[in-house]
Amino acid sequence: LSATARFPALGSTVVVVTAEHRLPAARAAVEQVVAEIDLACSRFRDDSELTALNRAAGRPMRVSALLLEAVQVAVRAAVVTDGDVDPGLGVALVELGYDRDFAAGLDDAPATTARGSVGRSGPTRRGRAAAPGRSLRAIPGWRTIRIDPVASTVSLGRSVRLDLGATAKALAADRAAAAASRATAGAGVLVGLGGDIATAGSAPEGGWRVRVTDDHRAGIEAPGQWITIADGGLATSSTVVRRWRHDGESVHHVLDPSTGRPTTGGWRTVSVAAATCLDANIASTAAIVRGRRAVPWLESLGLPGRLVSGCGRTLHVAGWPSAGDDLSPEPTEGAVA
Amino acid sequence: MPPAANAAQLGLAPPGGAPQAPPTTPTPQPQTQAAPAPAPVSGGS
Repeated sequence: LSATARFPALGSTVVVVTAEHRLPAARAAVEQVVAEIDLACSRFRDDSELTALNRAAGRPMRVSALLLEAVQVAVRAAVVTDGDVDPGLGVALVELGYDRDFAAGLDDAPATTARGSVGRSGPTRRGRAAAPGRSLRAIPGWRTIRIDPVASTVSLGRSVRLDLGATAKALAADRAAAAASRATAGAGVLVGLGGDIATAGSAPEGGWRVRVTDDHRAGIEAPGQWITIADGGLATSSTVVRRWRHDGESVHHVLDPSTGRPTTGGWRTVSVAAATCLDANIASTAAIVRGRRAVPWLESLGLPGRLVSGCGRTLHVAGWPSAGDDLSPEPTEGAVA
Repeated sequence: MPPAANAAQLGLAPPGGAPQAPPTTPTPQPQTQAAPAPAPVSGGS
């Protein structure tokens, strides 16, 4: 019989599912991994390594093995997406007002469905943003990052600040699931971290059953789809959550690196399954940025995906099942799939 | 050094198998069995 533990961390909710008698050990392992990631990679903690790196003003800084890995995977995300998933957007996010935890004072936009969000990250209205459709500023971004794995140092362009939000959370989910499985003699474990899912060990008979929706906090009653996965990871990126108002405009946290502005690509939510949660997260985030161009890209990589348009129509690609989806399919689905 | 990593590590890897639609008919549960654990949700965060 499986059991579930839930607790707040990383500005979100962590879910651990495994055999009931394995749950205490699995949860302890997950808590340790998540705490380590938070201390290394949080943009909102004064005592995190990332904050120190962002304050280094271009000087090389010696970092822990964990932050080194987190920066390496973030750069890999940029490389494999031609820069569409860019960890170097920290300044743009701050200038849009996303400079602190939601719990520290936010100005939610009406589109958000936030409720009871202990520790969620969120913005203020400080800072200045460009007018809609205009570039916020020239963003040097990820190409300025220099990594020396031998010396374990990282340096950034002088005007660049890292935001590892997306990839660090997915990396944490993968590491946590693996650690929990090791701590439980190889038991099957599922870890959900703010809606990003990682698995390790053997799946239960019939696979891990997961509800896919716009908002991971909405629960299983929200419109969406039940699926099962046997292994790997599953991630969902969405523009309908983590929204706030800035200079009278509703904005969200997925930025287009080419403009420094929130994406307008057309998909409001994209879910992707991959070999790891990290790869799933990179693909789902890039798909939000790319809009329609994401469909042939996911197909070419063999990454199953569920894409939801702004008006709530779904497109299922690369083997993602269409059965049982609460939302109506896009009229073009038959032609694409 | 440039940030690009080993090319062999770069590609995004698909899962071992695509997600599946679960059976539409719930499996009958023994009456003595505890209620199933709440299902995990994948959604935006």
